[in-house]
Amino acid sequence: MVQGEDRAFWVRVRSALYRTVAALIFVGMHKCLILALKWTVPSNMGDPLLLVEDILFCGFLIVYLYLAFDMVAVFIPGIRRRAYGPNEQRGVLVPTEQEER
Amino acid sequence: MTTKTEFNTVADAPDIATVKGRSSEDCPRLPGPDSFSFVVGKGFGILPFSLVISAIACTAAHYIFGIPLNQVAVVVSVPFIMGFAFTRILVLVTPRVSERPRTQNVPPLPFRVTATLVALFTVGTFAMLASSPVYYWLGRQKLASSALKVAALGGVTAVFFVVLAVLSLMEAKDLEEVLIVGFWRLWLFPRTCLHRFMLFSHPTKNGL
Repeated sequence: MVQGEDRAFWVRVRSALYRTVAALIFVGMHKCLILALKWTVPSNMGDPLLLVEDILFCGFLIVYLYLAFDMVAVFIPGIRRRAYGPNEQRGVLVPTEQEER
Repeated sequence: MTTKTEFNTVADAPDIATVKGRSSEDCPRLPGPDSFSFVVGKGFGILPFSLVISAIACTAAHYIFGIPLNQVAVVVSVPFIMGFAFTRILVLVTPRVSERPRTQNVPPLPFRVTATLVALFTVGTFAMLASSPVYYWLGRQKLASSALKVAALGGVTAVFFVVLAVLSLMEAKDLEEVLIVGFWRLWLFPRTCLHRFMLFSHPTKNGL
């Protein structure tokens, strides 16, 4: 069984892989939407088609930026700690006063 | 049995399952940032919001600011990148809020709505402010000037929503008092200035 730093490294590699796959999914979605748009909308409707392509580009740009930042955060521990908190805190559900009542 | 509500760190706090006396299968841990579902879910969570914002921005860029369609994507992506960079810098610079578990009730809905609007307008303002030099560098001076105007407008709107957020937290009685005193002060303000500047030229002062 892999322990210590080796394990942490492989966890990071796995996280990076997940992010790459997620990015591929979003790029695929983006391309599929543009293809579907070109296929369904008549080709003489130039301007609105271009505007919708621009909207899709800008919309997906934020997701790509988010994934890129996440990828950086995977490999730089300082950023990772700042963005997601210390290791033991990640994914823990803490009770609020309302839930305790 | 009394339940402990104050903990030094989140790590000290027990799982919600333990607090409610249930097993961890009933109430599993949330997916952490290392899981695939977290990454994809976050992406899909951002997507609708970003598409709506980009639809508004692209339409405004083309129909209000008259940017040609082949340049709309570049022009709109500049404030998007700046806004994203601003939010990431905020995440890295500001201390984490959840150092201790939240033990208070959630704030009222009007406050949450206005606070969200304040955050949105603040990010938008800084994004436009930072994009202005980029537009200037790209050789679009008119657009740079428009970006500054939009930033000013966004800043004023953010301040307006800050005031609304503060007012939304007040009790009805206090709110009435604040509004009456505020309007009275506002009503008196011009004559305060008049008094200050016209002290020595007022007819009753005999030219003193």
